[in-house]
Amino acid sequence: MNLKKPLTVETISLDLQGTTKEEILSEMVDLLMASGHIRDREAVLRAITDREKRMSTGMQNGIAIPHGKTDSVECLIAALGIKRAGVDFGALDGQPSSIFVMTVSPDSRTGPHIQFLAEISRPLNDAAVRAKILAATRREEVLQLLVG
Amino acid sequence: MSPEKDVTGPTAAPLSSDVVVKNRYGIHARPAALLVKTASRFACEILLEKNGVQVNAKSIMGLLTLEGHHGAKMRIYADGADAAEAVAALTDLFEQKFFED
Repeated sequence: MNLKKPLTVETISLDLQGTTKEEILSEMVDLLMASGHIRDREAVLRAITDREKRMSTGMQNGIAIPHGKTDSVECLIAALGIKRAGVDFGALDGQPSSIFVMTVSPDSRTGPHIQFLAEISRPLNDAAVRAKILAATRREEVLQLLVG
Repeated sequence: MSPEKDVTGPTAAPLSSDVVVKNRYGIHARPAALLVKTASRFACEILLEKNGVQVNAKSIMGLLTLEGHHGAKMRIYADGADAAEAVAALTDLFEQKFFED
């Protein structure tokens, strides 16, 4: 999968304002709206919030991957947000989350989500890349770090 | 292949087990977290391999990079005193389809 398709400069934020999980999720759904592919904002937010309640998507090393499935989108869309101060996301390793990758995919298809997770995890699994993302001053830099 | 159960102890050779991703949605965030939580209960080093690529089974982002779709063939490697128990526990998660479907 070409990461350039779901992730664009328009769906990247270098400075999320929210300080709670709820605020971050809502803010990132707003960011996703920029993709132009969301028909129903509330349905998307509900899918993501419901998913988050089943198990936190806070992973390790400051990364969280909130996601949801809903047929209010036709294709997989993605956003990336940075909160340098970190937010308590209930992460697996107990650390605050500072890099958020949000994806929303159609309910009826399973493949693209796993593929996108793999593609985005490769750079994010590298501590040096994470440090550069957190230090980025332009959204284009972040996109470049992730799509190579 | 089931894990070899006759070799244990600190001097035991690395163990391995071939597994297949059987749940419909593959290794997405929840199964990956389950693998990490289970692997982290053991002191031994545990690797998961797919198509020649090996990742640390205690790293969730590492596991996600493997793109463990439904039907993917993987191999679990463990090396250390509790390797046999670790391989058995992780193999069981694959067999149980990560409690999905």
